[in-house]
Formats: sequence, structure tokens, C-alpha cells
Amino acid sequence: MSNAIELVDVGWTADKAFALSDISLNVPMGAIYGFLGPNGSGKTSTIRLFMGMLKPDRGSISIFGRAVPKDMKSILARIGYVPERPHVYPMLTVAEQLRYHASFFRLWDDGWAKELMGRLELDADRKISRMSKGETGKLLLLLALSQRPDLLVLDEPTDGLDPVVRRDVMAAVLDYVSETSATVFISSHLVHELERICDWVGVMDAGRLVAELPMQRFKNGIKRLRVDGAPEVLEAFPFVVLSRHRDNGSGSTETWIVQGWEAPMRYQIETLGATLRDVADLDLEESFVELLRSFRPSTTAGAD
Amino acid sequence: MSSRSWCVLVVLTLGAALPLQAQQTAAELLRQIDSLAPLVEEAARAADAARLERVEQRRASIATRVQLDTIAVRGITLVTPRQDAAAARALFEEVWDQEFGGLESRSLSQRTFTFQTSTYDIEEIEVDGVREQIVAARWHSSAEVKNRIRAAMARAISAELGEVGLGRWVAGDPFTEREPAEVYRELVLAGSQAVRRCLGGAIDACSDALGLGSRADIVSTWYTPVERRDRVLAWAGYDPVRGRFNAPGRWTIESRRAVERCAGLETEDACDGFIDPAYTSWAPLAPHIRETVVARALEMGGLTAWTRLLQDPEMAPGDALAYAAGAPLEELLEAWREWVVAGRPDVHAGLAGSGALALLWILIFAALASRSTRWRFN
Amino acid sequence: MYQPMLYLHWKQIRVALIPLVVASFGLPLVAVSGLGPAPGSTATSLSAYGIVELTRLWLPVFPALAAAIGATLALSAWNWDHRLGHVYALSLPLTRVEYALLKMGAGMVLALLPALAMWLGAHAAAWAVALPEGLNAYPNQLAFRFLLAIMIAYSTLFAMAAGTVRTTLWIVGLAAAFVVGGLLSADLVLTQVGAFERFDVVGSVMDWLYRGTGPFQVFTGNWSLIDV
Repeated sequence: MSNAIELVDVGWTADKAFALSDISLNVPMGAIYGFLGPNGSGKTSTIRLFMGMLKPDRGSISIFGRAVPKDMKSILARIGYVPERPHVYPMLTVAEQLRYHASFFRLWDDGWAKELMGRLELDADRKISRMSKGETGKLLLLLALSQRPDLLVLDEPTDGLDPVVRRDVMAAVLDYVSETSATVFISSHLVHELERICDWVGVMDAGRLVAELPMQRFKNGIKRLRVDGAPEVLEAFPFVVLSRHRDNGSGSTETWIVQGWEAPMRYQIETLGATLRDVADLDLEESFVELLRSFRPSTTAGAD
Repeated sequence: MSSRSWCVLVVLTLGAALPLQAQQTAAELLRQIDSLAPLVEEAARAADAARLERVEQRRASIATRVQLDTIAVRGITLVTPRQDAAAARALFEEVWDQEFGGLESRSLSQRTFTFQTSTYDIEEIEVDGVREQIVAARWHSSAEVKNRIRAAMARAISAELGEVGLGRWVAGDPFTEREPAEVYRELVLAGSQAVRRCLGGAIDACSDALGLGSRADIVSTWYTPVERRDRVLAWAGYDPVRGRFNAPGRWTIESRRAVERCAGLETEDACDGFIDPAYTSWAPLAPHIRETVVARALEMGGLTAWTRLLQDPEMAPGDALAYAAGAPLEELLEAWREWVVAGRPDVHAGLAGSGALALLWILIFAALASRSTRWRFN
Repeated sequence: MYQPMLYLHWKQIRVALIPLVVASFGLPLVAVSGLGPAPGSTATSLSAYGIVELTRLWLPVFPALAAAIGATLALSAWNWDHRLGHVYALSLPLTRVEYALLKMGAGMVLALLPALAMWLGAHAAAWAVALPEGLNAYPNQLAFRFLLAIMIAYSTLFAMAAGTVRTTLWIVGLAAAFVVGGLLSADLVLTQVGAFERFDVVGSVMDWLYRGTGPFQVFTGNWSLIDV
């Protein structure tokens, strides 16, 4: 068993306007998997599918090699989940919420929960309904981490939080991962947030998983090329041309966004009679945008 | 209410409203009502004719479906669907012999009974002379059916008692079966010291409460002054808290004043003038309670009890009961009291059963609740 | 697991439940107020008939209060789960059956509070009135019936609320359609052909629900605190 989460050809239809189609997703054991995608691309729906909250129309899902939703009880005992929106009971205090949550998890670490509460500056007697969004976000993470999960599923955990809280949350996650070999599945539409911490990345768009690869390959594999004198029709390259457009006012110079580029491939371009003038790295956000652009023949709508 | 009654009611209502419209004397009003009499009679005749026509139609309609026979069971005339005739005959004969000792009664032979084992609606036909109807549908047990026949025959026979002696004492038919629990409840709630003493075991008080004694001061035996006051106020429709009559128009100023004196218990006998023990409605126990004493007497007296009961309708009620029971009156009343007390209802009977049933339903609902799906999102 | 669930339910409902518990305690006392002096007093008491008739006026309030408590318990049990989209419950490591039963069990225990209050109130009421000979007080039976009625109301509505909104709407819709349709057919059709008495479907079902072996039979029993 090498994958913590595995989705094979999973399809799910919400309504006429939105569906997840043929999602095959693999989250390696011990990885920090960044799940990227614009709002409404299907990230939360995908998470709900493997959390056993949505029933897939087709395909199969397994977590730690166990089938979803058949073995959901034992699976959920190993998952720390921070949902997109707060799901805790507002009439409870922090301490009461911790007691409630702890009663369901065998591996709950009370000492660590208290330590984290101090680190995250949460007041045990504070009523949840009176907490700020940032405090609620920290509480959700505290709940998820204190159960000592093997898999942390964080659905937009920092969305709407201020930079200080965001840093605290991410730091707590990284500390946990550094102490354990837990797998982290973190979804976000904030690309730069994931750039520093993830070692795998999956990109969703309009209900499809358009890319899934190691972060390093994702960051280095997408380049911007400036090419002179390229023919109208391109033959097959060992790399993928995601997009090409002619530069304004520069004659025959074109900009290509390519995936899977490696330096020796320059020769292949020159055999066409074209000249490679420049190769530039894209940062993750630019790569993400270019990748999405290449997959979007037209405007799509969806639900997250 | 018959059509005739409706017509009379309308006329009386109109008549009652007339004085409000004009200041007429009572004599004028009566003249007006009299002038309406031919109209009322005509309307009543028309209503009767219409009713008879409907009955005829109904009879004809049923006759197309059910073949009715009129048979004689000894002296009894019985109307019954043809297929029920044999069962009816057997049941009537059995009840007659076992319950009435084959008693010969002219009342029985003067009446016609209907009997049916299914709901053919023949009870809706007014077969001439029919006074007793017995429906023995398939969901009635044979004991239940026999009981109905017994009650119907008893009602017929008891007419022979007339309106003297025991007949007057029970003021109706003496043979309606009543649950002892119902009787016990009425005795407890009677609001009479005599009844309370009777329940407590004083047989002479039972005799007083049932109106079997011949004491001159029976009213004070029946009720305490407060109980007398409560009876009178209830009868007069007077609310002592508000000091108001429900229908003040029914009373003259003088009688209102008398009721108010009674309400204030101005003197020990302030209420006594209202209570006339000769009327059964003032007695602490209503005639239908008295009927249960007759039933006990018949039970004690065996098969010949009926014969003895009918022997001398003018006999004093206490004597007649004792004669029918074949035992002294005290013994009969003791048996009756025991029957009543033994019937003390368990007012929360069935609560344990309700609990078990509720538990079962809770388990069913728990099972339904556990079907709650995890597929909550679209 | 059960204790925190019970505590959560208590926190969710306490604002509504406490007044209902107080009402449960007070109702028997109110029902007997003005019925007469306390035991040992020499003041005049009402007649047995008067006492039974006056307490009878309050009888419909007892099952109504039980139904209200049951409904409050049931709806509060699922209220926050519905509002939070059931996400939390579904992320906990227990099956849906376990979750629903834990929740239902918590409500059942909370139902004991008003029943206990009723029991105490009924005993206090029974003590407060000098009963004439022949009348008896039934505080234990009343409190037990009250508890059963709360539990039945609670479990019925709990089961309904446990479903999705769509399921609940289906159930309510079907029940309403049955009653309205049944009444209309009875009125318009059966009465016309003179068969109303024999085919009174709505009446028969209601009879079964409330008098036969149906679930609400306990609501129509004897709710007397004072009787013969």
C-alpha cells in the first residue's frame, strides 16, 4: 500500500451544471498533497467523496487501502478533517468541544491538545459562537491535530484568515508532519500558500483533475519559451505545448508555454527552422494559471 | 327529531320572539299560536307522508336483496332474513329457557323482534309493531348475541311492571346491563352522605340512598346541608361565586330569592323546600343505578325470579326485590354493595400495557431513525 | 461517547427545556388549585364530583405539554446537525446508526427531567388537596403516562427529523395528502353513496393511531391525577 488516498475513475454528478468526471487521484503515503483549483472547480466535492459524504456515481475510492464508504468507521478514526466551513457546535465552549470531540477518537492526545491550545492562543472557556473566524479556524485545526491522525484533510483551512493566523495554522500543520509521518491533503485556491510546503500537487478545473504530479516537476516542468520563425503547424514534440501566441509588434516571435521541457529539446525546435531565443521559469502561480488556461477551451461553470 | 317536532319548535320559537317585537299580552300571543295550529298540522301530515314514502322505498329496496321471513318462536314473533331463521329460533329458545325459565309473558307475545346476522339494514325498516331489534353481526361473540337477545326480551317483559311499585321505582326498563365500574364511579361522585355510608358498608344507608326506605326525613338522610345546597344550586343553574343564574328568565323574583337564600345557607332548611323526595331526580342514585339492584335480585333469584318479580306489580319495591331475589332485602343489598365495590375501577388500568406498547413503538421509531442516511449532499 | 452527546443535547435544549420542566412541575399544582383545603384543615371542601369535574378541565393540557416537550427534544436533537449540514457528524468515526441511536438515547434521558418534575408536582398536588372519601390521587401513574407520551412524541419526531429534508417533506406531504384526500373523498364521494360509515378510512386510521395499538394510544388514556 503506497497511497493514502486513491480515487479511480470516480464520477459524480451534482446537477446539469456541474459534475466531477473520471477523477483518478493518488495521494502517496506521507505526502503533503496540495489540491489546487479555482473556486467552483470541484475541490470540496472531491474531498467529500473520499470522506464518504457524497456517494460516487461510478469509480472506486480507497483510503489506506480500505474501501470508502464500506470501511468508513475505521477510516475516519485515522482522519483529521478541517472542513471548508466551521462545523462545530456554537453553543459549546472550546473545552466542551474538545471533550465532545475527544470522546470519539481513541488516539486523542489530551496533553498535546492542551499544548496546542496554548500555542494557538485559544481560551478554553470561550464560547465558540463568540469566537472570531481566525479563532474558529485554529480550533478546527486543534481538533483535527489532537486526534493524532494518519491523514489530515484540510479543505481551504486558511481561507479568509489574516496572515498571522494563516502562518500559525500552517506552522502547526508542518510541526505535526515533522513529528509524525502523517499524510496531508490540503486544498486551496491560494497557490503560493502551497508552493512552499507541498511535495505533490493536483490541479482541478471544472470538475476534472487536469494535472497530478510532484511539486518539483510541476514547478520546473512548465516553461515560457520565446521562439522565432516557428511554422504554423507544429509536429509532435516530446514536450507539450500548452499555449502559443504571437508577441505584439515583434514580427515572427511567439511565446510558447510548454510542459515537460528539458534543455536538450532545444534541438527539436531548431530542426523546424525556428530559433529558440529565450527559456524562462514560471512560478507556481503562473504555471497554475497557464495550465488552467490551456485546459479551458471555453468558460466553464461549476461548484466547489 | 321528527318533522312534527321541528314544526312545533319553529312555531314556538316564532311565538317566543313575538313579544319582543310588540307589547302583546299573553292572551294575544296564544291566539296567534292557535291560529297557526292548522298550518302546523298540515305540515306535520306532509312530513309524515314523506317519511312513510321513504320507508316504503327503503323497504322495497332491501326486499330486492333480502328475503325476510316472519316466524313464531313459541309466542314470539320474529322477523328475520330467511337464512338466519334457524339460528334465530335456536338462540331465542335457548335464552328464553336459560335466562327466563321459559316465562310466559303477554308482553313478549305482543311484540315483534327483528334478528339478523349481517348488516342488511333491515333494522331501518319499520316493520309494523317492531319494538326490539337484534343485530348479530359476525364480529359479535355468541355470548354477546345472547346478551342482546336477553336484554331485548327483558325490556319487553319489564313493560308488564307498569308504573306502580317497582316499575315506578326504576322509572324505566330495569334490565340494562351496566358495568359495576360505572356504577361504582357514580356512587363515589354522587355527593350524598347516604351513598358514602353505603359504600362504607352501612346497608341501611344503601336502602335509604336507593329510596327503598320509607323514612319521613329521607332528604336529611340523603344529604348534608351543604350537599343539599349543591344539589339545589346545580338544579337551579345558579353560580354561587358570581351570584348569577344561567337562565334567570326561568325564575320569578321570589324563587330567585329562595335560591339565593339556599346558596347562602341562611337557615338549616333553606334548601329543603326545593327537594321533593317523591321525584326520583332528587334522589342521590338515579333510576339506572336502581336497575342494577333489580339485576342482582334476578341473579340471586334464579330461573323463577322473573315469575316472582312480575307476580304483583303493586308490591312495594323493597318487598318486590326481596321476593324476586328469594332473600331478605338486606341480603340483596349487601350482595349489590359487594358487586359495586368489587367493580371499583382501576382507573389507570392498561397503563402497563400502554407502556409496553409505547416501548415497542419507540423501538420501531428508533429503527426508523437509524435509517438516517449519510448521503446528505447533492 | 454517550455522555458528551447527552451534554451536547442538554446544552442545545436547556433554554427551552427548563421552562417546560417548570411547567411540568406546576401543571398538576395548577390543576388542583382551588379544589379545597389542605389535609387537616376544617374549611369546606368541594364535593367529589366537583373535584373530579374541575381537574378534568385540565386533562387535555397534560398530553399537550408532553407532546410539546417531545417535539422540542426531537427538533433540537437534529437542529444543529441540519444547520451545519451534518458535516461534523459524518466526519466522526461512527456509523450513522450509532450516531442516530446515541442521539436518540440522549434525548430519552433528557425526557426524564420533565417526567420527574411532573412526578414531584403531582405528588405535591396530591398532598395539597384533602380528597373526599372514595377519591384517590394517582401521581405515579400520571407521571409515568407523561413520560411515555413525551417519549413517543420525541421518538416519532426524532425519526422524522433524522431523515433528509426531502424525506421529511415526503412524510409530511403524504400524511397531509392522506388526511385531506381522505376527508374529501369521505365528504364528496362516500357521503353521496351513503357509505361514509363503512369506509371512513381517515377515521379508522386515526382510531388506530390514537386508540388501538397505534403509537399515540398513550395520549388518549386516562390522564387523571384525581379519580375514583
